[in-house]
Amino acid sequence: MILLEAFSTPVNYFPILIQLVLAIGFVIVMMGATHLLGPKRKTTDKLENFECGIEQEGNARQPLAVKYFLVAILFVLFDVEVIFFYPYAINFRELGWNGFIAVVMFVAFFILGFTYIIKKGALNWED
Amino acid sequence: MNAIVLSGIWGVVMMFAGLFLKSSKQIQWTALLGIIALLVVSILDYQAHSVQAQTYFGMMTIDVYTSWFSILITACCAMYLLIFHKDIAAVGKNEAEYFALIFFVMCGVYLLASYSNLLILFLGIEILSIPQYILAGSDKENIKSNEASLKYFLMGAFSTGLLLMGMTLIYGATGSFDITSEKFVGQFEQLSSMSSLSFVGILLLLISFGFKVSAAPLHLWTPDVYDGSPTAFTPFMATIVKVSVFVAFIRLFHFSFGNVSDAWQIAIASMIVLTLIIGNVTAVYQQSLKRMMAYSSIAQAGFMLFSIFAVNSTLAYKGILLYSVVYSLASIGVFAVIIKMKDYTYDGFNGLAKKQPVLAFTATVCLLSLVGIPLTGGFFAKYFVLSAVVEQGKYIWIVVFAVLMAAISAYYYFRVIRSMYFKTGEAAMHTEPTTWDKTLLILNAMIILLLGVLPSLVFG
Amino acid sequence: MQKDGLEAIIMEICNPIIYHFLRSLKNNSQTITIFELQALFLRHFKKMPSQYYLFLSLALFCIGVMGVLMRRNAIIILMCIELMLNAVNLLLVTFSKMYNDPNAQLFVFFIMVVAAAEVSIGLAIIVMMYRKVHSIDVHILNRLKN
Repeated sequence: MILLEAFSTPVNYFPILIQLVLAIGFVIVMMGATHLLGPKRKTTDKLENFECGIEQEGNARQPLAVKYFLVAILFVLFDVEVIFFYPYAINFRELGWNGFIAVVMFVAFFILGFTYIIKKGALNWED
Repeated sequence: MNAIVLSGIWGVVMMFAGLFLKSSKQIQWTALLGIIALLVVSILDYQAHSVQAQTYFGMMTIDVYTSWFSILITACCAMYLLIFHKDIAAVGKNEAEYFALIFFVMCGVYLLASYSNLLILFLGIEILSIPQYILAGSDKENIKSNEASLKYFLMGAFSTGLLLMGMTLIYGATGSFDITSEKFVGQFEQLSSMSSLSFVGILLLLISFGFKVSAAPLHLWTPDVYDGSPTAFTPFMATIVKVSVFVAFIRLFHFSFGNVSDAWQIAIASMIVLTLIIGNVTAVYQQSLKRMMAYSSIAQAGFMLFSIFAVNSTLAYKGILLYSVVYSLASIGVFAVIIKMKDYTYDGFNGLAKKQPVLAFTATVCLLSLVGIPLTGGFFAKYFVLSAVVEQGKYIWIVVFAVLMAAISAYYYFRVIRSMYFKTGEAAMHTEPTTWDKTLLILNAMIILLLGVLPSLVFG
Repeated sequence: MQKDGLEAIIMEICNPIIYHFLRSLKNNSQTITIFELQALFLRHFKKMPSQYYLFLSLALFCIGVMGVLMRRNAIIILMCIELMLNAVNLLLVTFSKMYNDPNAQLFVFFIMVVAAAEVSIGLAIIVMMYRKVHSIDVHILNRLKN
């Protein structure tokens, strides 16, 4: 119920709109400023893609190491779980200590999972 | 309720056991300890709920039937782990994870046995399925295992989508996810007042459950997945998981949609006919015993569908209980022999009776039970589910058809027995059975024979 | 004049908005602000019958099902499955609004989380498969046929 009725009038969206305008404005101003103020010297060496100072070779479309996939997959898992905090945040006072204990249990399972992947070495970059 | 919590927690314990325990023996003992604890806890649950049913948060209802089924399925799982724990550990190097996944699947099994809300049904099916996708692909070096895993995943996720659409349409018609609420029950009181949304919803749920129990037009993934998965996990998927999906199936379709059975009974009838034909006839042509058992599990699912077909009959509930236990134990017994062999074809079993008389004997008892020969548990299991339909008085021809198909199934089951007893050959073993294995297999066979004489033991 | 199908729906959605827009221009003879336009949209979409959402999500669902059945690339099949799940989510939120019942929104949360778990398992399986056969075409999955 609370979820449904909170955002029913367009006035409630006003702060979000202001924030959006500010965020986009900031990005545009900063990018424009660096573009206008910075010195420009274009040489062929500078226009090349930067590859740690050595000359580039080959195509960029090469298979990536599996580690990137691993991190991406783990990110997807842990990222989405945050969704359960939204209803809790909205009903924080109504749920009281029972809700708090439930959320702590939830987070504890989370941390257990996180400990497990660290111990298992899933986040190690060097073998 | 305690069993649900314990199975989840023990899964996490098993994960960490893999990190901290060095020897494989210790990990296996932890798993066995866990399943025994689970058995004890589910017995305690049964005693707590034997007087009256209890509802938790409007999500789960645990009654006598539910908790009794939990005990039986845990006992079957205990038998599976006791027989297969060494083979599970031998599949790959992350042995503790396999046990952990099995405990997570058990958590899903308990949820499926006790849900009273569609949300829990969905979560139960997912908790049941997701670990299985991993188990199917656990033999990472074997391309067949990878393939089985990918196939199972794509099919399983697709059927989950259908399941969710079905649930949503039913929610749209009723306005409630709670299958015991008045709105929900009122919608399905009679066929004439049912809205078209819920009609489509029931159909989608039926298709999705058909996928999960491998009923015939939707069975195509089954042989490939069961054949490709490591042999240690195939009996688990084919028995305990499949049986518990059946219990969820019967719970929804009898308790909630029982009054509108005219809407879906004909669909189940055609599913049964197709499942029995395809399962039995294709099994005849198989050369590998493992693949034959996969088709046989499709055929057995056809028989179990009879208990869903016979709406609101006590015999059907008794039948599915007995069928679950007997079918699980018999399949586990056969797979326990298959996994010991080097060659899975029929010829690989030639002369097994001379070399390993105990294995041959227990396999024979299990195969006879799968056929449904009297004096084995399989006879009464088939008898109960079929007589539940006869009792209803409609569609008697399906029963006649099923008996005919059971006769066909005798051909391919007896072919194994013939190879073991009447043909001479090497019967090369992959691993030699220990005394412990033999004792367990004999115990397994004894339980099946005992249920053939006293089937009332499983009715609680 | 009878309009058919999609055109009728579009006309029904757009006409009142254009009408309000024009009327406010004529009455006040001043430019309409973005907020007034937004309010007009919202006022209209509140009145929009839930059948439209039902049709939209069923259409999305059918696109997903056809994708799963017809495409050959495992990743695209995975995306189509996600499309099916999201169609279900949209429908659940519609029904939630219709019945004024937050339970359905709760269900959406669970679907999203479980879908994420499923996708990560699926991607892991696809990566494992790719390393073996260097292809994610599902039609090469025929080694298990005898």
